[in-house]
Amino acid sequence: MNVRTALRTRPSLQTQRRLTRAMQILLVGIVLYGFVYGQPKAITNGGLGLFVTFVPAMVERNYDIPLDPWLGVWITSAVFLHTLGSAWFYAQIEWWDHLTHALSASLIAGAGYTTLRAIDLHSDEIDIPSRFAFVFIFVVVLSFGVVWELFEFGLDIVSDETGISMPLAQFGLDDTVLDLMYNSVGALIVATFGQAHLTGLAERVRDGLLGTTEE
Amino acid sequence: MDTDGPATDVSGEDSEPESKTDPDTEVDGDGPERPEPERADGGVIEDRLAQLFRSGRTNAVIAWAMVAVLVGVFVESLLGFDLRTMILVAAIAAVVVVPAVAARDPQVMLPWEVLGLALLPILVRALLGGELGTFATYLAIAAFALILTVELHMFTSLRVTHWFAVLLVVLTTMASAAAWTVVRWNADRVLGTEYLTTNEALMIEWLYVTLAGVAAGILFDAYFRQRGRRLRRAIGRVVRR
Repeated sequence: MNVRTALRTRPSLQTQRRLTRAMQILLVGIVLYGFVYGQPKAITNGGLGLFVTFVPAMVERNYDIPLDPWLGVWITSAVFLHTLGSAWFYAQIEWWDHLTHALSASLIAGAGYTTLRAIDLHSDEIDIPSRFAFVFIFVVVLSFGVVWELFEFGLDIVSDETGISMPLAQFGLDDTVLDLMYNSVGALIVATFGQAHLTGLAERVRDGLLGTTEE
Repeated sequence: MDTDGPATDVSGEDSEPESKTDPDTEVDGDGPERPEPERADGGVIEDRLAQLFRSGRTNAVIAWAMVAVLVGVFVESLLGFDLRTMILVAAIAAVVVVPAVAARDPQVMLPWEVLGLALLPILVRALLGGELGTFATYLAIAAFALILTVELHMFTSLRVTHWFAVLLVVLTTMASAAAWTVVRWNADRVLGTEYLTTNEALMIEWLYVTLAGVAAGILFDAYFRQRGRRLRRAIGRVVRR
């Protein structure tokens, strides 16, 4: 119940901006560190992370979809923690990888669920009861996990062939399966708590992106 | 009307007339509920394959023959007390006979070609005694996912369209591989089995699974379109007359 009350009290836009700004500054720091000490991994990851932190603002401006402040923080922190991890913590803290996987999977789950709800609301012929939405979230996250690990596997092959170091790499069978399992944890969290909170977003996505079905 | 522009590619509105008929005809196209298109179709289509399917009795006979094989496998696993096969086969058989039971008519069966694809691994194992490769096995799983989707559409409040069903099948096929991987990995740890070998072998398996999922998606999409077109053509002739 505590989590729910905390989530319901929306942070002000200003708080969200401050949080996002602080994370962006740290990401710039990581990129600069990469340049100064010649770490290509830090540059690519930090740069990509920095780009993603601007996506929520871009979505709001270009598609006129007002995003929940928490959602902005959620997206930004997932990217932020991953970048921190690839810069330092993945090698040092064992559970950091699990944390980022659960968090990014929760993002995929949230995006999958929001898309599903937007389709459900938009199309008269498609109707997805909420008990199917639970299953659907897992299906999306698990199948995305397969695509993601295959992508990493492909990068590994490319970097083996060319000798270019890639921002992502696989670390063996156990790591792959553990990734999947922590992805499922993220999916479970969203499937359990997310449905109530993401419904409003789905309606706004429908209005902003798809247009309402009314004239 | 300008709001319709961006909507079409998301909801696939151009395929609506098709998708309306498709999931229904999927199972009860030759059922008693829709006698008009069924009769109209019978005289029009010369295609032997189509004839086989249109004739509700022929389709039902082939489908029930496959169910008989399932029963055989179940009895065999019962005698050998192979619990895993028992549960698996019983669950599959239950899903397969649901339409007939729900309609209280043994002629209401799934299209034999879809059923055949879904049961291929079991049929091959029982009748020919071989094992299918990863690709074919997951193609079968995709067909089973399609059957499940269509039945959920028919018997629960879930409503899907043609394109959504195809998407769901592709995703479910891949997700089932991921879930099966997690089960195998934990079984290897807890029960001491040796399902998984190396990460590379697993990745190659997943690659085939992904290909099978996409292939199934394309196949089912073509299948849906074909059936929708056939049905519309038949209705069109009747209306003109």
